[in-house]
Amino acid sequence: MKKYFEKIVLDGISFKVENGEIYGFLGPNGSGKSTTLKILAGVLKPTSGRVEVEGIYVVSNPVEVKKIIGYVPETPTLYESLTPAELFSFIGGIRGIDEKILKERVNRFVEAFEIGKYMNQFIGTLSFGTKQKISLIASFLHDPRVIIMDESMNGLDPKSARILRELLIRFRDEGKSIIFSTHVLPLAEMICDRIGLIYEGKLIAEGTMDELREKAQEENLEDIFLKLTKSKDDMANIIQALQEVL
Amino acid sequence: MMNIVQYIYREVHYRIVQKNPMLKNNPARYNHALKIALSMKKALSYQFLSYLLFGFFSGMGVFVISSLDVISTYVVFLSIIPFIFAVFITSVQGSNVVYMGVFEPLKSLPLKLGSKYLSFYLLLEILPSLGIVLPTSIVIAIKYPLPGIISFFWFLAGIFLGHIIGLLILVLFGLKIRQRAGKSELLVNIVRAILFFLFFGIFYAFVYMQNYIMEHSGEWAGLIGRYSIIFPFSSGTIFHPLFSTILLILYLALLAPIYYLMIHRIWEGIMEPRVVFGEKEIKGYKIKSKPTIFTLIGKDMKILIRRTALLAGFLITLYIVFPQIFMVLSTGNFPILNAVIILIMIGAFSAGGIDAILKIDINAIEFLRTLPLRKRDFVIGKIISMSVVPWGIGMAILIIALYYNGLYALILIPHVFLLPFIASSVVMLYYFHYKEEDIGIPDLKKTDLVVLFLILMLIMGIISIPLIFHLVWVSEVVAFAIFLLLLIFLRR
Ligand SMILES: Nc1ncnc2c1ncn2[C@@H]1O[C@H](COP(=O)(O)OP(=O)(O)O)[C@@H](O)[C@H]1O
Ligand SMILES: [Mg+2]
Repeated sequence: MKKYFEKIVLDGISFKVENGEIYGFLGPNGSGKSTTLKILAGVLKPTSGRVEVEGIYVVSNPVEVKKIIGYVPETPTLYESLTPAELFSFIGGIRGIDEKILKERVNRFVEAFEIGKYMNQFIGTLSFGTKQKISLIASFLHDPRVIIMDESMNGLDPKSARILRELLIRFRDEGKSIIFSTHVLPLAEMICDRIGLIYEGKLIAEGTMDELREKAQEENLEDIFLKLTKSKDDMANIIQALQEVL
Repeated sequence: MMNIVQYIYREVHYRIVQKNPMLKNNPARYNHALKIALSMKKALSYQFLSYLLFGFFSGMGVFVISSLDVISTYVVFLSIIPFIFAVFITSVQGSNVVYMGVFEPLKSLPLKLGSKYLSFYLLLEILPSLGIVLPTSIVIAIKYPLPGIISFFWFLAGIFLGHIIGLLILVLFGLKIRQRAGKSELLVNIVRAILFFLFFGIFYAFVYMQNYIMEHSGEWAGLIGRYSIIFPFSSGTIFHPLFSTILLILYLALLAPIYYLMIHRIWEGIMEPRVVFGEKEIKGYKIKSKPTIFTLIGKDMKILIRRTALLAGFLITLYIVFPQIFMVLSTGNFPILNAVIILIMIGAFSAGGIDAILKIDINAIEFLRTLPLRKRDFVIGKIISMSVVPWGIGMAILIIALYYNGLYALILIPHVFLLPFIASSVVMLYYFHYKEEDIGIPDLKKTDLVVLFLILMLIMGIISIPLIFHLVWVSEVVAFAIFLLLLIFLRR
């Protein structure tokens, strides 16, 4: 459970992500996805409840957990007046990554996401998408066993989005656990092994695509989503109301 | 108008409360802090009242003094307080406002000269400090109405002057965003720092003007000769109302256009942060991996040099100690004991840079929390970062002392290094003694700063007791003992 002071925003959420699995986390805006992911990453503390990553308790041992997690936040908040090269060095230093390995990893990622020309520019002056790429690389540098991503496809150009997608599939095949939230339903449908649907702080459905289809009696994920979050019926009314004022 | 000032106020204070780790896990205190922080009227009057309490006692002192000379000297010293507040709040808080991006939403609105709101907001933050001086003005006014009122105007003038100096710091240091890293940035910033000191040169120019007038005019010469017309000494003229008023008007006439110019420059800076391109595009890039503490300090130094607004706060110890060094040196010799006293002063004022040091991470705190970084490492990194400037000044003192006293001056070395470290450690332990491992940016309340300053004065006092008996060695042993004690605390 997570309370933001008075308000309960997460309640009775419980799920497990296996090794070698991609878990998709869906839900309307404000339903509690980011809060859940932050708690998993040890960035935020739950008001009550137990969170375990690879056998380590996140609440009592956040530093150890952060060593094996790569967390990509919803909005990249990085040091604006460092350059990407300096930021990666910074992360390497804090995480104690061997310099040679670090260099190699950075070089590969920089090539893959085509950000070589920005490497000596201050992060504050870069576009949102470029910052997002840097934020992604920043959380992959230590080769984490668990990857937590919060709407990380936002702002990526098609090529980088594709690379990231392929990368995630590779990571899964290597046995890493991946959990990510997204509003890009086709992506979720395509790569997720299991999907959790969160609505107003509660996990209202969970399972493979087939299991979800069964439950909602709908074919594609968008319809499943709308039906389970009870937004399907009033859609026409909403559109009608908007047209009246515009 | 007030709406926008209030928006800035609330936004700044909301963010400060949000970043405070001590409140994060304590809902009751959090709500309380938020309520106070978000109500501008409440927060400001609360501050005003607490300053008034201070002011009340100092005002009572004036009541029993009968000598006019003593009262005017007292006014001179008192007028420094709101002045320093104004410099500090304008430069540090002003740069925070810009740095945190509070102005971003305003940019898309049709606002003309939005920086005046920034200025008004900052003046609002400064105004409570009038509580310290107001009672004194009232007490003087009870006995001598006109001088009392004029003294108040001098206090106001001090705030205005301090505010303008703060704005100048902002213009020189606070608004630029550079696109590329390069070696030249350090140089440019040094030039700016020199420019800043040149601004104070204007006041030295006053001295020459004063001499000139003294030689060339008859009746005023006596008055001008008796008082320095440079602020804060100028506020000692209150018992010559006409002279004092003319001087005040002169100050206003000089400062008003400068103020207007600054506001303009700041708005230009905010609307279109001048993106400065560094050296030509560098093809390769360097990737290094160093031990944690070095990594942290390296990051701090890089950001401080680039975020020049932070640099201004970082160098604050230098501004405070600079005049003292100057004064001591102007006597032509530099006995070891004087050097030790200055070093102890540096130690006491080492805490000045704390605000800048902690603000470095304010926008990246979420990111820091994603890293497996221990609070202890973070704190030790900060302690060392904070000591850098005082160490630098101390080293300069050491060199000067070596020049005047020969090798015997090497006796100063422990003080040069230990005192800033002790001061920084005390400050950091004060702020980060909370239990959680979470890294955050503690909120620096002015009352906290006062308490801290008193603690530091106490510690420096203990270290300087042996000096009364000219026992530099003993003083060093004491400092070393305190140092060891702090190390034990830090290991926890
Ligand atoms: N720092 C915060 N303080 C108070 N409430 C918050 C905070 N962050 C998020 N919330 C609330 O928690 C709920 C869940 O938010 P979030 O986890 O960001 O949702 P999502 O990521 O699914 O859009 C929302 O109602 C939001 O208003
Ligand atoms: Mg979210």
